[in-house]
Amino acid sequence: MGDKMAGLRRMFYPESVAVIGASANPQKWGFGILHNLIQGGFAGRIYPINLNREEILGVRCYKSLTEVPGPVDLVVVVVPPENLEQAIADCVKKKPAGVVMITAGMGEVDEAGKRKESEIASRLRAAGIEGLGPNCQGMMCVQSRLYAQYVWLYGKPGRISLLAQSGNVGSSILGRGIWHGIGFSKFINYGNEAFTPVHELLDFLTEDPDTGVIAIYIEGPRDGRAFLKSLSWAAARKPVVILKGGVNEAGTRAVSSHTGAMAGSNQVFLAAARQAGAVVVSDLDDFYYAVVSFAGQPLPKGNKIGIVTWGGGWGVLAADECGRLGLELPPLPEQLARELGEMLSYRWSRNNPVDLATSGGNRGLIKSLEFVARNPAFDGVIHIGIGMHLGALKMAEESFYMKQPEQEGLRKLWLEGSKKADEIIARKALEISVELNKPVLVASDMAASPGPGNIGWEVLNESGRLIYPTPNVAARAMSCLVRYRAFLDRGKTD
Amino acid sequence: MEVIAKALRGKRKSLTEFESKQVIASYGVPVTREYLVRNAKEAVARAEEMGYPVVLKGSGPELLHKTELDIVRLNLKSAKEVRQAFKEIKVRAGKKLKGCLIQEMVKGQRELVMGLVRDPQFGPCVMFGLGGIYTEVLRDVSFRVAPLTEQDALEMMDEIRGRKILDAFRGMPEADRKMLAQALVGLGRLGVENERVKEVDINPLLLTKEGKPVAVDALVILE
Repeated sequence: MGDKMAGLRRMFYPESVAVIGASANPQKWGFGILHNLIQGGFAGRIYPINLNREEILGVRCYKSLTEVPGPVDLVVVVVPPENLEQAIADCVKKKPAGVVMITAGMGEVDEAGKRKESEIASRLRAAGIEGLGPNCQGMMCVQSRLYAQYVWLYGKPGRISLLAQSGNVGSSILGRGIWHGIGFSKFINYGNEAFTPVHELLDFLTEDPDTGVIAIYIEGPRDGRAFLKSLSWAAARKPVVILKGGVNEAGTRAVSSHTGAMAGSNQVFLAAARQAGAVVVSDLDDFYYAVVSFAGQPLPKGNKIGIVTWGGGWGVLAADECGRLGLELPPLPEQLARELGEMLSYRWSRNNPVDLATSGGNRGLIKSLEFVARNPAFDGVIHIGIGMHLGALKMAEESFYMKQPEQEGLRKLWLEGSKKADEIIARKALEISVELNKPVLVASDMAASPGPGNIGWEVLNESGRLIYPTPNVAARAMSCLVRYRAFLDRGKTD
Repeated sequence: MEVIAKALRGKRKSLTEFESKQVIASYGVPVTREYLVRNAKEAVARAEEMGYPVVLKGSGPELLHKTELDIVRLNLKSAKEVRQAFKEIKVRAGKKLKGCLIQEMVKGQRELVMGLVRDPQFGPCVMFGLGGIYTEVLRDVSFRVAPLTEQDALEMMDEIRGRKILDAFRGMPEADRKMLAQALVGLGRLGVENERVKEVDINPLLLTKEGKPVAVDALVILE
């Protein structure tokens, strides 16, 4: 186990990388991989392997892996299946820590492919070489600036690591996260899982100090019991979020033609994953927001949620979703209700959700957030009301009335005021959450992505947080945090 | 277990209901009070001992699907009815009949299901859900991989959509979750300790008027 983990560590933090099948043709994957490796700023040595060229992209080529002077830690194989023989023979001789086999058209296609990949697997294993793929798009490690992958995605450093059977599902989480300014550590796309089994990759992420949250997209592990064991080990130490593909007959058909993996009986798999402590989600949105929430928010102590909303409907939707998910919405303690009543207009809801009924202005939004968050009756807060000022900003910019020269003063006031308002809410949400170590999830469909004037987003994003697109998504993300806390607390009350 | 070993020696693929219940009872699943009897006279004697009403079922290693074979007689209220039922079952089952099972008639409106399956990936897994005719229609079941902790068992009960069936309602008391959990944990242990047990099907598992679970029918499949 120790050697294995050391091998994987060397594979993800290599000093040298070779690309067998490096190409000068920008249409080829062999070009894309080499290009991305250079673009990512990898600090170690890069060795393109190409029979016919002296150099590609300004990097000196070698005719074969065995010609490369000195050790090679990682080898990316990007050759068609018929040229694999030489590549594998050279790897066995050179003994890198790991091989990433991009090559497709193997076990996912037919029985002959399956036999071929398992034959290669036993040769690599005998030589003590770890491996990803075949039929994958590569791997990434932000901390070692290693982008041995085809997708054009460069993360900023963070604590989220993705372990994905499918390259495109992993890429969609990574891509959305990068667009949102969320940090990542690793992206491991293991494709056909012919070499290092997924449970060992999971063990590696569990031991990896750069990984704080593990996100797994899986259709079916090769060894269910071993996966479950590794999952229990991981979930006791770090939050693990799982999205399982291939849950019904149609999905399962797509699975077998896609990666050649056996999707185990689905209900049992999901039960097993939950039993091991994973947080199981069922679509890409929940997957993304759960993972980001684990990385950016503290865990709640329990399932009692307070909702603060500018308008009634949002609060109702958030409360509905909390109810569906088994989150509790305790009534407001008397003292808190009194304090809020003294501050808010007579229209406010007098209950949880605390609905300001569009009264109280920005001060109301901030103070009620603070009062509710500080009250020990609540383990977490969902706050809906940021982002409305983006509308006011637009109004100040476009209103025919405010454009009149004599209204210049008013216009300025609105412009400044709306910019400030979201900033203040976002800062309060962040500060109070950090101070109290309670999750505070801010939702607004108007401000749920970065954009000009979205200062609330910028403030939260500096701390790896974001604005949730809807009350429902925020409630679901909160329930993921609650579920993991409940798992960690298991047995404590028994 | 000797019951299982004996059946395997006889190259049988399953246990009778009587044997199945002996096995699950030894792992903590509460079962109906019942006796194997060879003739109507013994049946009546046992019925008098238990008190009416009773249930009479044909028994034999080859008599797997008792309802379909029409060899189950429910709610028998007198010695006369027991004798009549015995006669009917004998005619229906013919040579395959090795005796009859006479058991207490458990009254309960809530039907649950418990089971054990061997998943090709995860090995023995325990199932819990809504029982009787609803099992197939609603498919409202949850699973856990064996071995189970009591916490696992309690969680899987909470996972079915129809979990409110375990609460107190319409004058019925809350189900005894602790007993249910012990049964589920026991089933998991049965699966782990007996590799030749391929499946267990306990359906229905009734909740009595007091909210206690009782296995009314059970089938153990071997491999």
